[in-house]
Amino acid sequence: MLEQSHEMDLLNSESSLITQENYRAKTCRILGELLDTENIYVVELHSILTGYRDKFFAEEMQDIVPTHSTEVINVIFGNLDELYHFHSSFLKDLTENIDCTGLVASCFIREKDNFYHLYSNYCQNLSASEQVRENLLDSYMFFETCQKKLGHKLPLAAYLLKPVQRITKYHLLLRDLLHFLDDSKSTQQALECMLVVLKLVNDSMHQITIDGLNLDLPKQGQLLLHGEFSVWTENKKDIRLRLKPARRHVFLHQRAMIFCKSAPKTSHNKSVYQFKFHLRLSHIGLTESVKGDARKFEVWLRGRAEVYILQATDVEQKQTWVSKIKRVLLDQLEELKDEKIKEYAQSHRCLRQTTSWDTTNNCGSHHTNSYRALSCDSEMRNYYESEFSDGSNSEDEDHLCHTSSPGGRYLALADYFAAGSSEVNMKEGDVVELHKIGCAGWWYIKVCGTSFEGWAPAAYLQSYNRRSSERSSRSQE
Amino acid sequence: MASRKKVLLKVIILGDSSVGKTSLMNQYVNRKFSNQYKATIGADFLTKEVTVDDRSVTMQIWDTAGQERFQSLGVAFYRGADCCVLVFDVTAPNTFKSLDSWRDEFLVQASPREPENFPFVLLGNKVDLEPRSISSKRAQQWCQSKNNIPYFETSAKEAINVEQAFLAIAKNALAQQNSAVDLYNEFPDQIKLTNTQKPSNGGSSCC
Repeated sequence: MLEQSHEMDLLNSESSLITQENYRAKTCRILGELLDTENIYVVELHSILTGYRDKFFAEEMQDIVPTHSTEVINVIFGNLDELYHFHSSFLKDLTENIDCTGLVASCFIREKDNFYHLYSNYCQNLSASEQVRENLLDSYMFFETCQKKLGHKLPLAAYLLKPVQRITKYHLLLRDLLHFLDDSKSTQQALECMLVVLKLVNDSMHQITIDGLNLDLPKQGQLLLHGEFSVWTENKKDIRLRLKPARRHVFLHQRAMIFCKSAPKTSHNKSVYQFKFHLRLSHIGLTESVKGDARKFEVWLRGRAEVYILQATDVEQKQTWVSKIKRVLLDQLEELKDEKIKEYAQSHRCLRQTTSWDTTNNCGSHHTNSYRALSCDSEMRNYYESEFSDGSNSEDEDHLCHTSSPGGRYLALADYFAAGSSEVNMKEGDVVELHKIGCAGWWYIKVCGTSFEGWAPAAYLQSYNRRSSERSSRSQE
Repeated sequence: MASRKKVLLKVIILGDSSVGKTSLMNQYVNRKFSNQYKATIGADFLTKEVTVDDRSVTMQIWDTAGQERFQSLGVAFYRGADCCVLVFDVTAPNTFKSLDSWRDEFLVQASPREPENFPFVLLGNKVDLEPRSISSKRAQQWCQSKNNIPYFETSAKEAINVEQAFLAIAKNALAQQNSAVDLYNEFPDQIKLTNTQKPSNGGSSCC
């Protein structure tokens, strides 16, 4: 018996040795491919610079040079020069560190900003480069002579796309590398870095024109998402029922949601939109689930006096948007909290509550409101509990069941003095129950163990669950 | 010597990640498929000389692997394409579902002059694998609904139908080029003829 199991152990360790060996070989190959292709890339960049750009100034080519303007030449090649120098030193870095995947990964992490700046510059210049080349008169002879001398099968235009292709390959290699690694933390981080770089470069390429925009776009912060939705609008002042939704292209910026109508395309790579209206993110409330359609969600103003129902093309799109909006709203709260609570407490009287759910006395609508508020609350709680673990809070049936359970508990971080009859007093350390989420950071709460309830600024509150779970995990140690 | 115009056809391969775009290209151009170690990165583009209806044409085939989720970057590649090859994996239904959005995306970004007549070819790849989730019939129905796109079932691994598919791609691309004067052509044919036939007149230095 003993011998047998010993044999088994041997077999097991042997086979794991084999797979380990196998994995190491595969890792080596991927690293080899990274290095080889990087080498080729640097050589190719160099060949474009010497084989085309420098030829504009070469004596033997002066008869056929289509332009002497350095300005035009600079547009044709963009910052290819910088790319070349950057990748020459990156190649050196990689070569020196190629024996250790962790060090290779750190090369990428270290250079992520350079990657982003160099490539977004390069990519944004591409269409200008193309235009200049198209408009350059008598350029054919020159470019063909260069191409022949270089022995390139395809013309310059194809080679100028090399950087765009290269930047999209690193994440493929890093992902493959991840499959065969035991300790993959730094590689995972490198992969994430390169994906973020790609996303940013990609976004910078998307040229958008919004006609009739009455906002200062740069002041609205980074563009987070954009996409097509069917949008229904409900307005208390304007009771005309809108049965038909409008197709809207919605841009979600850090500080605003901009609703536009897509205009027919005028030219490639340029989208034109007509501005319709915008909502400030500091003013909106969010309802994640709308009964009857998993693709719908709502944003609203002034305690639902204006409601915008957005229907996404699929559930996935909806979830991406909802979690992004939620993240922005939570970040707004964090920002408020960071501005020292004491200071805030002194000046809170300036912050007037613009909205209240109490105004809806209609019984039926009150019912749906509380359902919505509760569902929102349970989601909120889940969000806190998952501690920003990258939005994996998938919405399933379970969550809907939770909505009937009592609201989430929060801890008051400082004393709060009610500034009106709709608000509520809180003492530091009070435990409160969240009933509704209003807009502009106002929550409707009940102070536990008392009958006091009313509106309070969410910036004063921290999730009680998070605190207690932290405490319990610490006590387990 | 060449009495006929040299033809360069630009072909773009689109489809979800890991449907086999790079493998199909490599199989067609290099007649290679590696199960052992498949290089992650294919060539940025490959060229292949083919004869279509007695005409010698050069196909430049562009791989888009790695760009799948970054469509603004893809735009630079779509321009001037003569044919767009859509690829899905017959064992992965989600890759079949994405075909519509790939086709739309291409048409929007490349904005060809006659979108309804632009040549697409559909390849259902990995037919050597089991179990199949998308039947030929279903794929063909999709093709019919899109103005009769030619459909081929391929295996880059077993080299099934790859040659035939690319020949059809070349034919369709050539027909497209013949039917319209291409504004985006990187080798404007007329200019080329002028330059090679009458070098003494065409050069700026001699006049």
